[in-house]
Amino acid sequence: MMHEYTDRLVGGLVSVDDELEREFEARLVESSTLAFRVAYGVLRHRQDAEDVAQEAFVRAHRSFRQLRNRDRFRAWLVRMTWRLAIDRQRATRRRAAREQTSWSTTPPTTPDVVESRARSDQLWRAIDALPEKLRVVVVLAAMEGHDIGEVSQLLKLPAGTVKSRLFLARQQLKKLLQ
Amino acid sequence: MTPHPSREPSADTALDDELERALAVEPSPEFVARIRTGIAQEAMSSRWSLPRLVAVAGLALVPVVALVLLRPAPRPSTQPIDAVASSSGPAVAPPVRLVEPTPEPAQPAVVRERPSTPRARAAAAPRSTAAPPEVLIAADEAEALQRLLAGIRDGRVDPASIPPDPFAVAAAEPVQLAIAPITVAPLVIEEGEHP
Repeated sequence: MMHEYTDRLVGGLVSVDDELEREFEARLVESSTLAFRVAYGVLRHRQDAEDVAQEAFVRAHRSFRQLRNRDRFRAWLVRMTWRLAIDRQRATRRRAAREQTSWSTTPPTTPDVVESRARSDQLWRAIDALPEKLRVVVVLAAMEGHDIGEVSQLLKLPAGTVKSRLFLARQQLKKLLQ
Repeated sequence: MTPHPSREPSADTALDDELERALAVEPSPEFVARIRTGIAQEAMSSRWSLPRLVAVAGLALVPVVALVLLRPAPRPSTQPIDAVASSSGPAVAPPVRLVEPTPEPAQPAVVRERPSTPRARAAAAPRSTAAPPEVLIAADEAEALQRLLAGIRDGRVDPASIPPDPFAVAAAEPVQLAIAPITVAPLVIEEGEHP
């Protein structure tokens, strides 16, 4: 009788764990690129972005059981990845600058490539110059076809706030890119 | 995720396209595998977290504590004291055989158990019979006594002439004290005084 109960209890716990693991695996496959791009939007360094996204997933896995509303996983992951990336950027700002310089000084092959690279550098400098609350909105809106509603869900902000911040960000970017 | 499901009409398409291209980076093919490895490593390391280590240490301490708590208390020995004395190294006092297989029925055998406390052990320790106990007398008193004994032996001193112990006599006969009677004069109230 007791053995049956414990067997059922243990079996139930195992099945709950298995279910959680399966759910997390599905979320991982679905959101890994998003987390990487969020980190890349801040760091612009592939390896660093992968490291940060990995750390965010490890933390997410650690606390996945406590997450009440699993539908908020993407928003939770995006905010955590953004925060981790900002922290990493502050810690390795000098190294990131060196990477950018070395990438920029790679000898260009054709005039088109030269122009494209220069434009890309200019764009990233402009994005970097934005205040953080405008930068996160513009980066999230520019990836994976997120609309204002999705960005507002990811950042837990009202849609009107996202819209106004996106407008301001575009205005500043246009000004900086002229 | 469908691309641009509800893009704002006022958005600058060129700028949006540019931003999208800038952010259209793909992680390395082994990225997801790396995340899985990281999660597995973290799960492995968390198995040996602090609470778990404390629990393991506690489990390791259980036998030690049990051993200390369940150790039997020292029981009083039923061995005769001579056997104990003979088995405990150099003896200070000569061994005294207290358990005597005596044939006399009137004298029962004395069996002394070994006392557990040091104080009781000292009280029950056998007294040595080899040397007479030392009598502590002041040197001048001992000399006077020896001279008195020598005088009696030689006939110079008559024992009958020795007075009894003056202290004993004094203690037996209380001294009569002469106490003058106390007379109390009656009070006389003079004029001008209040009683």
